[in-house]
Amino acid sequence: MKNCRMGIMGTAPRIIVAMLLTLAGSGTVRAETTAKDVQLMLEAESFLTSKPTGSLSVAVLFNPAVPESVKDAEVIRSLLATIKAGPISPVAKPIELSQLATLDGPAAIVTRGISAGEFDAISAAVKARKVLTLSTDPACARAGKCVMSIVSDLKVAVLYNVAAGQSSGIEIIPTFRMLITEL
Amino acid sequence: MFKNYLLATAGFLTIGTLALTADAQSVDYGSLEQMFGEPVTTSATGKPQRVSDVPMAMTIITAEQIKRTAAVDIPGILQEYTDLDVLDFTRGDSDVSVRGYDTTMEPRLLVLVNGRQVYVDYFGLTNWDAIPVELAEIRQIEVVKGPNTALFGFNAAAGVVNIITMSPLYDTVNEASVRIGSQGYKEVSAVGTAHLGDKLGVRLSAGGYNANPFNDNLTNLLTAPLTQDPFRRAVNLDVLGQVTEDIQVGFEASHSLVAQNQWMLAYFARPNQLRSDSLKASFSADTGLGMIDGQVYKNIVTTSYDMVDAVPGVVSDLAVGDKLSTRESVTSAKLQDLFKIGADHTIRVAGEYRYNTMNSVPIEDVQAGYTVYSGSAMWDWTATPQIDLNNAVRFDHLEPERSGPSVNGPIPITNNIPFPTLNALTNAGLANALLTTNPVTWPYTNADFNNHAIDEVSVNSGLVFKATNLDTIRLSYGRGIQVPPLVDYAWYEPLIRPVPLGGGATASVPVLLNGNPTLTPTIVSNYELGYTRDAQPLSSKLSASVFYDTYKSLSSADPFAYRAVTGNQTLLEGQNIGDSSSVGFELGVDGHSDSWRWGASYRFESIYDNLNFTQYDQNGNLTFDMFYKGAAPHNLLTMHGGYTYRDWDFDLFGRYSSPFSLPNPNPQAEGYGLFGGTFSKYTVPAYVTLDARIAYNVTDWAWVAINLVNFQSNSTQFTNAPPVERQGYLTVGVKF
Repeated sequence: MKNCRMGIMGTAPRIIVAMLLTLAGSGTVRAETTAKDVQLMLEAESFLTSKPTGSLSVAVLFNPAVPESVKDAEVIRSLLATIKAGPISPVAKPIELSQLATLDGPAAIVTRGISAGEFDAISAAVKARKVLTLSTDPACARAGKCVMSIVSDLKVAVLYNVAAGQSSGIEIIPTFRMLITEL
Repeated sequence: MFKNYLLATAGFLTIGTLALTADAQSVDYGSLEQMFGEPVTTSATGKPQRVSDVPMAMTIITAEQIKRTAAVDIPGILQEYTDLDVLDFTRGDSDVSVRGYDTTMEPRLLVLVNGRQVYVDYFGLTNWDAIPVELAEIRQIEVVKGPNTALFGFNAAAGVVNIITMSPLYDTVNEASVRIGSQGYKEVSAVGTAHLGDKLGVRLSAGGYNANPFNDNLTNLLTAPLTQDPFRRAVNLDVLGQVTEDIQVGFEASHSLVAQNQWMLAYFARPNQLRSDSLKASFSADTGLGMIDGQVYKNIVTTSYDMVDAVPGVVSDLAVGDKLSTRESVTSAKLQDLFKIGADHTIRVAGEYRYNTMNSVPIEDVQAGYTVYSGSAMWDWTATPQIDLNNAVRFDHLEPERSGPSVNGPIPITNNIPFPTLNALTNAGLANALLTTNPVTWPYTNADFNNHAIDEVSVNSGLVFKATNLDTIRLSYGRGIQVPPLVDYAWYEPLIRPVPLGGGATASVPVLLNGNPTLTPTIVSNYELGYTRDAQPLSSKLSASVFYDTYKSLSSADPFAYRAVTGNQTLLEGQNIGDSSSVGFELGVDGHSDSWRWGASYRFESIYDNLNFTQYDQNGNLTFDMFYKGAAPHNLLTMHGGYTYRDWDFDLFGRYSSPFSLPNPNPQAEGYGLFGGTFSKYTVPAYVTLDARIAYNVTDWAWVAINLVNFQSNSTQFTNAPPVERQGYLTVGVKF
């Protein structure tokens, strides 16, 4: 807040508009991964029983044949270069789906535009390798293809697939379990 | 739905507990708030929940909001950010309540620090200044509006304020400030944290102030001299260690000493000095049986009132220079297990033991207290992704115990029942004569007290329906219990008082101020329908609720309860005085952007009394009729707004209260009708009060702030006490 440099005159109308939107009920669904999404994914790492600190390799899983996935991977990679979450300093590691065998990091973000069949491949690749697979797509966790989906469009919602977590060897702390939606 | 309910219930009986194994983690409030974009609490159900998910009316004031407050104490913060009722009598003496029913020594709001009660049982009150916490070390102030006895036990009857401090292990607070202000205000405050790796954290804080009362003509109201030098001293140590991967152990110790003028039950003030000491040990462990938490603590609170008798013609065993001293101790041990069954069911089971005791007042030969055994359980069921049902129940068994001299018959005027200064008083001869011819008769034996055990069940039930991603509807019910304060077991004071004989005539007769073993608890029930709407723009939230509260068997902690004259003797004791109910609604909005922040809340309430007390004033008006019904404003509006521009912070707070009534202070009738003195209604006029804070952040580690409190006028009438003056403060703070 201290760093904000917005002028008063420019901000006040925005507030009025925002309040009207509040009353009217707004809520747009964003089409790309945002800084908040990535920030929350990194924050979620701190609620694992094996909490990482310092440099954290974050795989960015994308399909080079799908423009949406490529674009999202680039957005995520650039965001990871600027975001720090507490003691975690992320290092992006883009991985094409054809190279899932090289996946060894403790965290992996699944880009948008991934097909259902590719979800299966990701799910199989992380099995028992203690990789927390993260997505902004709730369907990914619901289908058990990702361990966790984090949605921040409206209220923050965290979906945790218990079976996928167990399959990947992921454990989260009990307090966090009380606060999220377990599937 | 009903089928799902049956299946779930059957499931409890057959599948047992699924084990959770993980590193022990006490709740990391800061990280969780950052994760979810809203505060997290355990004060609603005992389960960690986001504040938007709790099944009851709740407000959380965050550390960020506390940092920007213009107030310099916790009641002031509550007044700025919530629609709680705050009676601001004088420096260091405020009474806070939920949705009306505010009185001096307010007994129905349970106040805690990290789950340890700082509510004092002897009168059933909270001495806010004595809370050994510096504002800089508060993570959040959690306000539950409505009963929550099912979680916290007795006296969480109408609401709860749980002050959560920063974690010594997860948070780092190194901060010091110096503040000077009007009315001779001088304050220092410091908080420091040390970490030994990630295994041990220690936080130490200390602070205090010296000041004058902010009521200019305080000494003119009562003939009793009041303190002109209120002060506060406090120190607090908080330690948390990760002993093993699965176990955390905590230790807390605190001390506070405060001096103030305290408005007593019958709305007269007495200079008071209160010392509070506490020790607390806790642990949390993640086991195959769930998250097991335990805590044991002991509070010792001693008070010393200057009992300079202000009323001509009244003779007590205390006189000029005497002290009315009390010593209360509370020991509590609690064990809780919280676990999930599958993905949708969370269970909490807990047991608690409490032992409260105090000496009798003012004659200290009697020990009175009680032991409480409690068992409680909570079941939270996520029936569907949209529907959550929470039910909590608690059973408390209270066993009173009173020991020491008590004679079911005349109290002899001997050394056993001393009147140490009687002979020094001008009318001692009259007193001696009266006590000789009309001996005071103690009406109860110790067994009368010890045979009146209290068994009560408290309940909280709430249904949360997330109609959409934006809209949440909450339906809740709560049944809370307020037990009689310890003084109602411990009073033991013979007096000589003028008592009305009719026709305006009075006569001096012996009066026995005594406890009452027949008191029954006050039962508070709350029915509420709430609605909140979240919206992403500027993190805004709208809220609305309607509530209906009932109070059954309101009792002795309120003034004016006394028993009829028997012959030439008056027995003065706590009574159950009847019922009352209230209905109202609340509206609220909160939001912020990067640089703006704002909020407002409005409450409308009407109270309906059905009291069995018949006390009339000199004009023939039923004086008790005004007490609850009139004592809460119909309309209460609070607003706050703030803006950050570069290194400057600007925050403004406003509160409007419509008129309400309190007993009219009259030192010639101490007790306001208790002894036949003139009693009348004092109407606190409608008021608007404004607070403001302007801060300049000199560097990342230093700031200067000006706080203005009640700045819109020279003074404002908030209660029946003398008006509260405008206050100004200059604060210099550093982080290190």
